[in-house]
Amino acid sequence: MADPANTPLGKMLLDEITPVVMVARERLEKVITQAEEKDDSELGSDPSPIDNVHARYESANLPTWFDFFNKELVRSASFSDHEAFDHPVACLLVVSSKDEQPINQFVDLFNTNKLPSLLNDGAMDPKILKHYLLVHDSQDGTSENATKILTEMRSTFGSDCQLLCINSSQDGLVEHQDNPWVLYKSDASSGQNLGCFLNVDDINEMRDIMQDLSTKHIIPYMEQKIRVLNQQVSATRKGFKNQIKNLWWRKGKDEIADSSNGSMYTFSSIESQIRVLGDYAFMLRDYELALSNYRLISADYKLDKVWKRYAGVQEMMGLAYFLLDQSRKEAESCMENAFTTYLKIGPSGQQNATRCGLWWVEILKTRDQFSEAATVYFRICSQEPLHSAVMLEQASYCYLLSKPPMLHKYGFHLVLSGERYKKSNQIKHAIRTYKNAISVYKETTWSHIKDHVYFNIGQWYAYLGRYDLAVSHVLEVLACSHQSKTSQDIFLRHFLHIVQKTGKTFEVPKLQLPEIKISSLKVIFEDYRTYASPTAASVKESIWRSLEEELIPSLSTARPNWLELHSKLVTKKYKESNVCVAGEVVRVDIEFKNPLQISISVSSVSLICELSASSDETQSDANSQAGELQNDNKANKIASRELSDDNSFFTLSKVDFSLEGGETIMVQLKVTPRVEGILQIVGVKWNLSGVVVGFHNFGSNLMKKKNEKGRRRGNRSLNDNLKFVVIKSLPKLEGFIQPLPTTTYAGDVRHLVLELRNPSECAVKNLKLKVSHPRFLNMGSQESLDVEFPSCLEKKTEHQSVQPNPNSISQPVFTFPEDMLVKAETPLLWPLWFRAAVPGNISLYLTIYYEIEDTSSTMRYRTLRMHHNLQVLPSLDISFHVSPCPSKLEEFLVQMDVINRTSTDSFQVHQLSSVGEQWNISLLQPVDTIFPSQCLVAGQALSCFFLLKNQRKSGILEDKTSSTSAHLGSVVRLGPQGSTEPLFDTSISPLADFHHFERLHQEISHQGDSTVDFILISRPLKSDPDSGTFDSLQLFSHHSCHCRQVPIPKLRI
Amino acid sequence: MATTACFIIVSRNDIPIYEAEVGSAPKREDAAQLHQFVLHAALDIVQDLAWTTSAIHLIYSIPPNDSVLFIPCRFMLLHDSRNDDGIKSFFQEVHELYIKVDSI
Repeated sequence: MADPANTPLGKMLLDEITPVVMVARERLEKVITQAEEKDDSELGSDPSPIDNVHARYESANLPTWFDFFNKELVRSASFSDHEAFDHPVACLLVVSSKDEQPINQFVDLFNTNKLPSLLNDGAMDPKILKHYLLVHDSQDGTSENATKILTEMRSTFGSDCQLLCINSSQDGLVEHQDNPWVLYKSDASSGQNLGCFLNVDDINEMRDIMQDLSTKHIIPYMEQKIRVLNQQVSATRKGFKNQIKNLWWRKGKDEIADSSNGSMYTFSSIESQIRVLGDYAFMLRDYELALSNYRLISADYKLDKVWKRYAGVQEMMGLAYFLLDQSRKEAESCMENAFTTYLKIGPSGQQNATRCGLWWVEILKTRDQFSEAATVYFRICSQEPLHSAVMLEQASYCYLLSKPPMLHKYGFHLVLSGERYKKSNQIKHAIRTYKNAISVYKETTWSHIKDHVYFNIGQWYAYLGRYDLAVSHVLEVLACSHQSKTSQDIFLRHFLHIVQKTGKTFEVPKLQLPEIKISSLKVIFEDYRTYASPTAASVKESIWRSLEEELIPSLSTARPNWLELHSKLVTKKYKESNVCVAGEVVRVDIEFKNPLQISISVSSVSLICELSASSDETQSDANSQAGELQNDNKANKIASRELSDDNSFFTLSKVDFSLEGGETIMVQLKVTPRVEGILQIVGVKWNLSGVVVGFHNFGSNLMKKKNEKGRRRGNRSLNDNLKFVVIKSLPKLEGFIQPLPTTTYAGDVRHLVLELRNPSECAVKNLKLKVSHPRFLNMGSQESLDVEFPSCLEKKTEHQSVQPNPNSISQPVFTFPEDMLVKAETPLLWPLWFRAAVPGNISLYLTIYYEIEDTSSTMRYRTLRMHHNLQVLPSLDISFHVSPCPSKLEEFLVQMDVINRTSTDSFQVHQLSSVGEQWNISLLQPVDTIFPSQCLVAGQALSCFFLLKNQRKSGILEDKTSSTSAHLGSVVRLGPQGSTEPLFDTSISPLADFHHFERLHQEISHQGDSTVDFILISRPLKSDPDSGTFDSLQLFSHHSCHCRQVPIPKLRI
Repeated sequence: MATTACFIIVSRNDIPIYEAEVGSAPKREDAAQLHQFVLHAALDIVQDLAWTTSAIHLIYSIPPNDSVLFIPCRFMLLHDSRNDDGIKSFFQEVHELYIKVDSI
C-alpha cells in the first residue's frame, strides 16, 4: 500500500491537522478577532458551487467540488471543546503604525472579554504564545515613526515584536504573476488583484516573518509543551501503580459524576492535558505517541461516560491507526465506534459525525472498499436535504467505482440524490444527477423508472426555461401505454404545456404519438391498371389478372405494347420503379394507433414527398441518381417541404382525426403529382394537438418489411415501392353501374346501365369488357338501352322480340363496337342485365380494356377495374318432381314445391314456363283451388301439380316452328284468375341468356333427352300485403334446369 | 395491517418479464415506480448473493433433462412485512411452476 500520508486522506489531514499559524488579521478600525473563525452557520447551508450543468462527466470523473464541499463540512465541525486541534497554539497581534496609540491597541486586542469562548470558559489554556507585529504602510510616510513604536513595543512586550513594511512599491501597481495567497486561501478571488502595491521585497519580508514565526517560535513552543506534558502524564498515569490508582479513583468518582459532563474537564485537568499531548504529537506527526495517549484517555472517557470526548478520541485513534498503516480492522472499528457514538449524542454530534464519516469514507476509499464507502456515505445523510443530496451523489459514484461496478445501485442513488437536490431547489444539480442516471436506465425496459427519470428531467428543464431540452426528454415518456390513465394525462398535458411555452410549433423526427403501424402500409396507385372504386384497388391482383388474361394483348404478340415502348424510351432503372400518371392520385393507406388510454387529436396528416421534375428523360435520370447519392434525410426533408410549400409539382391531401384511447384508424393519404419526373414518398407527417409536428420516415427502418403490393416483383424493398416514375397524363375512364343494388333477393332481374366517362380530351377506343360472373351480369344490346323494364319482356303477339345475343353467350369477352370512341362530355351508356342468381355474398368483378387513341403516349392501353359487393338474400326455393303418368307414356306429372324463404316479403307467383318446344305444360287444377290467395307470404310453402306433355313423343307437334327458337316453350299462368297481366317471354334476352348460364351452371354429368327446364317468374308484392298489388317494376325469375323423371314410389301425392 | 408487495421476474439481461403488484394496502400513485426503483437497485445485491450464499430464497436448480432450455432468471419479491416462512413457500411454489412452464 502507498504511504498513507500521500493518500487523499493523508494529505487532507496534513493540511488540516498541522500546526496552523493562526493569523489574527486586523484592521485598525476593527476590534481584533483572535482566530479565523469561520461562520458555522454559513457552512451548514453552504450553497455548493454550481458547475456548468452541461459539462459532461465521464463516468469516473467526479465533480471536483466534492472535495471542497467535504473540506468545508469538516471545517464546520472545528473549534470544538472536546478536542485540541483547533485550539490556537499562538496568537499574532497586528497593529498598524498609523494607529495613534499602538501600545494600548495591542493590549486591547488581547482583552479577555473579546476572546473566543474557548479561552474564556476555561477549556483552553489562556497562556498562549503571543507575537506582536507592527505593520507599516510605506505609502503613508517614512518608517521612522514605525521604528520608534517598535522600540516602545519591545520595551513593553518583550522581544517577540517585529516590524513589517508593506506597500513600498514605487511605481504603483505591480502585477504579480500568481497570487501569493492562492495556496493558502482557496476563496481568495483573483479578481481583486491582491497585493498589487507590494514589491518583491515586501513579499519576501512577509514570508520571512511567517517562517520565522513558525520555525523559531511556534514549533519549538509546541515541542517544549509536549515534553512538559509527557512528563506530567508519565508521572500521574504511566506505570502499574498509577493505573490502579486511576481505576480506583474513577470508580469512586462514578457516583458523583455525570451532572457536569461537558465542562468538567478544564485545561488543567489531566484528561485535557493528555488529549492536548496527543493532539500536539499528532500535529507534529509523532503518531505512535499520539496513539498511546489517545488509548490512555479513551478508557477514561468511556468510564466517565463523556461520549462526545470519547468519540473524538476514537476518531483520532482511527486516524492514527490509518496513518501508521497498522491494523486496518482497528482503524475501521475505531471509526465505526466514533461515528455511532457521535450519532448517539443527538443533534450536537451531527456535525462531528459527518466529519468522522467523511474521514472514514476516505479510509475505505483508499483501500478500494468502495461499496463499503458508499454505505458510509449513506449513513452520513442527515435530515437536511442538500447535505444528504451531496452525500448520496458521492455514494453513487462509489458504487460506480467499486469492482465490479454496481450500476443498479449507482442509478438508484443518483435518483435519490437528484430528488433531494430538487427539494433544496438545486435544479441544475438535480438535472445533472438524473442525466447521469439515464445512462444506467437507458437500455433497460424498466418502464416506470425510465418514465420517472425522463419526465422529471423534462419538467426541471422547463422550470429553468430550457424548453428545447425539456421537450426532448418529455418526448421519451409520451408513448407510455403501461402507465395509468391519470399519469398519461399528466405526461401529455405537461408536454403540450412545455411545447406551447416554446412559442413555436415543434418538429419531432420520431414522435411516438400516435404510433404508426408500418406493417399496415399499403400503396395504391394506378398505372395501366385503373380502379373505379377504392374497394376495387384492394382486391387481390391475381383475381384481376385471371380476368384480364384474354383482354390484354400478351407480350408475345407482334403488336407493340406500352411496356416495349417504354423500354425504348427510358433506362432500365425506370423499369424498377412503379409507374404513375401525372394528375392521378397515388394513395397510401396507413394505420395510426393511439397507445394511450386518453384521446388525442391529430391534424394535418399528410405525406412527405419529393418530386424531381424534368422535361427531359435523360436529364431526370441523372438527377435522380444524384439525388440518391446524397441520400441525406435532412436534405430530403427540407427539399420536400420547399416543394410542398410552393405546391407546384404535386398536391397533398390533409386529414384530421381524433383517436380515442387504444383506437386504431386507417388513414388514406393522397399525393397527386402534377408534372413528369420521379416521385418519392419519403414519409408521413402530422400535427399533434396543434403544437407538435411529428415525422415518420418510411424508408428509414423498414427495408426488411415484406412488400405488400409486390405486383410484378415480389422482392422489391419498400423504398422502391414508394418510388414512382411519373409519366405524362393519360385519359382515364371512369365507370359506374347505375343503379346496382347492394342487397337483393335471389332471382331478382334488373335492367342496369353501365356508364363510362372519359374526362380528358384524348379519346379512347377498342373497348372490351369481361365480367367475372356472367350468371349475374350480362351485356345487353345497344338498342335495349332505353327500353322499359319489365314491360319489354312481355310476350308480344307478333314475333319481334329481341333475340338472344349470340355474342354474350358464346364469348366471355364482350367487345364494344369498333368505331366507338369515348371522349370528354360524351359518356358511354350501355345496358346491362342483372340477375341475382344464387343467394350469398357475391363479389362481382368487371374489367374494361381500352386503348388510347393518341399513339404517342407511353402507355398504349389501360384497364378499368370495377368491383361490387353484393348481398343476395334467399327468396323462393323451388323444386320440381317429375314422375311419369301412370296412364299415358308421353305425359308426366310435375310437382312444384315453392317455399318463401324471406322473413318479411311476400311474392306472387306469376307464371311457369317450360323450356323447349317439345314440352307442353298445363295446369292440373284451376289455380284458385290450389292457391286461393295467389300470394306467398314469408315462410309460406306451396305445392302444385302440372301436367307435362311431350309433344314430340305424342306426335302432336309438327315441325313448323323455326329451329332458332330453341328456347320456346309453353307457359302456364299462375296469377289470379282472370288477370290481364301479360305473360313474359322467356325465350328472349335477357331471360334466355340467363337461362343459358343457369343451364351451364346446373349441368349434370348425365345428359339424357328426358330432361326439362322450368322457369318460374314471380313478382314481389308491395310492402303492404293487403293491397294485393305487386311491384310492377320488379321481376324475379327462378330457373330449374335438367329436371328428370323420378320413379313412381318416390312420388308424394 | 395493510401490506404491500411486488413480485417480479427478471431475466438474464435484467429485463423484467413479469410484474405483479399484490397486497392489501391502498395503491399509491407512485407505487409502481417506487417498487421498480427498489427492485432494480436490489439486483446488484442479488447478483452478489447468488454466488456467495445458499440461503433459502435463492434456489438455483437444474431441470431434470438436458433437452430443456433452461432460462436463468431471478424471482424477486419486495415486501413490507416480515413473513419468512410464507415467502419461502411462495418462492418454492413459483419456482416449481416456472420449471413446469419452462419444460413445456
